[in-house]
Amino acid sequence: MKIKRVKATTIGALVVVFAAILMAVVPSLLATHDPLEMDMVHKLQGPSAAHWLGTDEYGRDLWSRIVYGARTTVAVGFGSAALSALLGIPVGLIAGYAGGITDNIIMRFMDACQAFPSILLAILVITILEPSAVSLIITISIVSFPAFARIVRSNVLSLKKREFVEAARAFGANRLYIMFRTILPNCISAITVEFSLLAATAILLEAGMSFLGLGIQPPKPAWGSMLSYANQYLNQSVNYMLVPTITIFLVVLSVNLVGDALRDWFDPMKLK
Amino acid sequence: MRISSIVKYCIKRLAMAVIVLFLVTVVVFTAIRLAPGDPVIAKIGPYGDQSQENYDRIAASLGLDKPIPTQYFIWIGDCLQGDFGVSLRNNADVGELIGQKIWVSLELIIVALLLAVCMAIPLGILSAIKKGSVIDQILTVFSSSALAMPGFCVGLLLIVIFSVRLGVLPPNGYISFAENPKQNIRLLVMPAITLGLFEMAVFTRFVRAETIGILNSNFIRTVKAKGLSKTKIYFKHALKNTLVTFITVIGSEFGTLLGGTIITEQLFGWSGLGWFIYQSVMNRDYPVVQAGVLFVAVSFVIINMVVDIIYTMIDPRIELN
Repeated sequence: MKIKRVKATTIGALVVVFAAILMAVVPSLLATHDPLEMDMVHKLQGPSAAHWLGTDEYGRDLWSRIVYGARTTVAVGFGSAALSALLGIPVGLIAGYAGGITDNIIMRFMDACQAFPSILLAILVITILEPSAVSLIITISIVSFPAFARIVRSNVLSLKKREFVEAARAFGANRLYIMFRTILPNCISAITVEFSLLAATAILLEAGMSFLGLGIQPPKPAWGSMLSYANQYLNQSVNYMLVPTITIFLVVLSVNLVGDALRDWFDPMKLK
Repeated sequence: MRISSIVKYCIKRLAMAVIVLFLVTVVVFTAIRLAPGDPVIAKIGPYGDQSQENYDRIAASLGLDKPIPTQYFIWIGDCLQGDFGVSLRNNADVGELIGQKIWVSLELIIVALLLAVCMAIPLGILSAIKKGSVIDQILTVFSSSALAMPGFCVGLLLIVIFSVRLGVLPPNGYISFAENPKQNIRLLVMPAITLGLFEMAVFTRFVRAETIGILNSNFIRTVKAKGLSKTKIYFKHALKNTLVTFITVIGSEFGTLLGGTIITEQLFGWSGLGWFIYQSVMNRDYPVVQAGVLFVAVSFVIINMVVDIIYTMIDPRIELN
């Protein structure tokens, strides 16, 4: 088989994702200022040598806030995707493998979760919890794990009729073994792709929730909440709004591109 | 034979829909009551009579003194009779309130979807025909970009350009078409573009993929062999087949947008249904939240059911179930 050349866009996307993770892990190495340090004299400035990306309404350095905000945003993005996987995979496995009435009951619950817009469900859930990064992860996972369960279920439905599963059963493997050791490893491509898509959606949802004031509370920096505050200063500084917009855009686009690349990598037949 | 199987299918779908909606009502009813904040205290206000007797009296008048399961069954019973209760804030009839707000949202959603569909069909087909060309690549980059931005960022950019810089459009607000048609449209432009752009990206991707699939199919090869002109192939045969599945995508997007336009409505002060439900959640206005979410869920379930049925009726090859 010929080794495929990795596309330039995929490499670019990987670089952006890696940079975001680096910011999240070691922000102190990359930041030039304390993200909470105020300087009212230099508020709402554009990019300069002292402040690479300009400053916000309290004169705080936007580059440093983006760097420190990455921790929250990356944690919310990947944390929600991980928790959704943790909830969605067993539910999808059980529904798909058991079939019949169990499947029907589980799937009607999933239908109910998806019968109204995710943002509305997220708002309902977050009002019960206090707004914080952990609450956001829980909320976004509750909203998005049904989609995960559905993907896993549909994979299980087609896999469970295959010969190798039949063979495992003939060897006397029990249900749990078949579900988790025989079927699950074969769903890994679908799971990986869904994971990356969910991480991207979670970052967007975090931005949306923060915009409604239900996200990370100030003064802690997070990309979504920076955007919601920038909204109040559009008259004075467009730069303040552009910085988080472009950051979110680049990261979400990159995560999506990595997801697409993974899909192609797992499934070369589907390449158009 | 076919008609009877469609009827059977509809009955089965209806039964499932009833179960799903029952679950939705339970979830919403419980969730809103779990949220911190007591609507009775809010109703009394900081300067009202703080005595226990007054609290009990108001709780009883709102029906909130009974155990939660009892409250639920009373509410469901009333709903089935078409009585959705009154808003805890201003005693207005909830059914009437939702009836007003839904038209505000519908105006925005329909205009945005029309905009998106009108752009997506030609662009998607163009992209598919010229697959791999510069135009196709530009359109692909555009739709990937639109899907990678929080929807309201586009809105913010529009406000910066048209309200802050050029000053040609009002940044936010709502006025009904009947009251002031010109101002209504001026206020509608930016939220409609914000929503429409995102939907356009979704639709363009879909039309492109669908058209590519159809252009590779056997019957198009036959038509080509027959010597039909390109325009006839693209716009008569390919488009017709794309549209069939496209209808279902538009339908399900429409279902998702009902009540899902909260952020766009909040950004532009467009006082539609989504925004109204959101504010009621914040105010712990239980009857409005319950009825609002139920309305959204019912519409969603019905729209999806109708879409599926239309789909099977248009294309008899699709098996029911």
